[in-house]
Amino acid sequence: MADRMTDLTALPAVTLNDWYCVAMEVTAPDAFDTTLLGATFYVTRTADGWQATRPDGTPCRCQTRYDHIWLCPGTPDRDLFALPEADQSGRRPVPCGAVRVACSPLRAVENFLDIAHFPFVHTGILGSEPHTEVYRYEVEITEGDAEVWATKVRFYQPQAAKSAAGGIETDYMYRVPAPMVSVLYKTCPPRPGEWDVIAIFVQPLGPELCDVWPWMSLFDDETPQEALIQFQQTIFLQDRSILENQVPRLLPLDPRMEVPTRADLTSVAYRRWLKARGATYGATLEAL
Amino acid sequence: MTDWIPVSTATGLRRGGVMRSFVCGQELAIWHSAGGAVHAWDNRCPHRGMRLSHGFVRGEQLACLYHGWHYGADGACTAIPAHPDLVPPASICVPTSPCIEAGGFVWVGGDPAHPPAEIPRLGLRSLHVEVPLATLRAHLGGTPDADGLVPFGIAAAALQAWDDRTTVLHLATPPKTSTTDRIALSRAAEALRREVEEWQTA
Repeated sequence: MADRMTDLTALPAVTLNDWYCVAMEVTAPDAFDTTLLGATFYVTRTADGWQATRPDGTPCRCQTRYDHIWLCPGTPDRDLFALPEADQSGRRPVPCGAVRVACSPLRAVENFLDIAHFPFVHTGILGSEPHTEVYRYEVEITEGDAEVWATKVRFYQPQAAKSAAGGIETDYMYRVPAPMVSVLYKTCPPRPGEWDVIAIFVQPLGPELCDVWPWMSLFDDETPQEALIQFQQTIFLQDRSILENQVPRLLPLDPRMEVPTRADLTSVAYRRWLKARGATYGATLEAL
Repeated sequence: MTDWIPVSTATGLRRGGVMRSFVCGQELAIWHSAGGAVHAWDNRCPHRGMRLSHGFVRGEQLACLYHGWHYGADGACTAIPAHPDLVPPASICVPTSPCIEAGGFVWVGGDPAHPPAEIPRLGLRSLHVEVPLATLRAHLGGTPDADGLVPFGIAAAALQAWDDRTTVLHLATPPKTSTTDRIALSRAAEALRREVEEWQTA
């Protein structure tokens, strides 16, 4: 799978110089190989923190943030995205481990941004018929083409979170701060006015294979950690059955290839944003 | 000679069922409506590329598992659950192929004006054999009838070119064949598969 000879310099700078999640901090061994963009990187724990080297042995930047280890295969042209909620007191971080999915990393992000599938894929948990309608919501691309945001998203959910007792109408906000990261903010049942934060950090092993690292930051002092992780695993395994059966595996950026509706505004904005910044690793520009 | 290609025994595709199949490498979703009609469609929802073979049958419609988009018998989208009040544009449509149930098998791709012969048969089983169709046909011997079927003992054998390396052998027996005979035929088919695959490897 990993090819030590992969020519990283052939990748677009926007892909090469981004940050990617490669491990969960608490479970990472002191030294490990990891596959990123088809190449094998080596990561070790030293007295000065985590250090990483490229396949050719040269060092590259590495940092820990949001309970995970992040690596930049090229030369970072910006900081890792900010997630201020991670430092807010009273929150509980829940790193969930990885789910390996045989799909484009971009398909994994797009699925995370989608709510219309809840009643059919996460039946009885995040959605149920006949509550299938996706109400009008707003999408914007922030200044300087920095991020994609979807706001005022509302959806009926039978069991929105582990801490939710019954069906409620849930408010959502979605955010794409980097091509292979997505963050959602949703109504927090035990604490009205605050948002639960759920993110996925997608590690691109190759254009059609990825590890999805879900991470949550919740106001929930009661549910055992294992139960929270189990809940998230259930959801992601349901998503995997979809993601591994989309044709083609690469995310199509040619608008003629797939037919969106109004419910797909976030997906449409995400695809346009990827195309505009040239972040086409894991995408296809050609028709089938 | 016929253009119909067998894709299943009639009993192998239950009412309300959906399955994935290939004809010469082209991927299809084959499904059986509640009312008994069979359909063969391109295996891809036009919305987000999801395989329709993972979908579910509701009455005379097939729905995609991902977002529940419904498609009617002609392949046209009839409902988009995210927008219950929207009438889907006619342009949202899944390409379809002719599909028919006849003579104990399900067939695709032929001329509906000239369906395969209606001879009562009971589906026995379908075996994937890792050899090209021409190889399996040569090993079976016999003379194909007008629908391309060849005798296999008292059973009828129908061959499906899955792709250029794999052939599916569909078998159906006369309706009143004894269980003992059906088991013997099933064993014989497995023996044939072993023999032809070993011959191919040798």
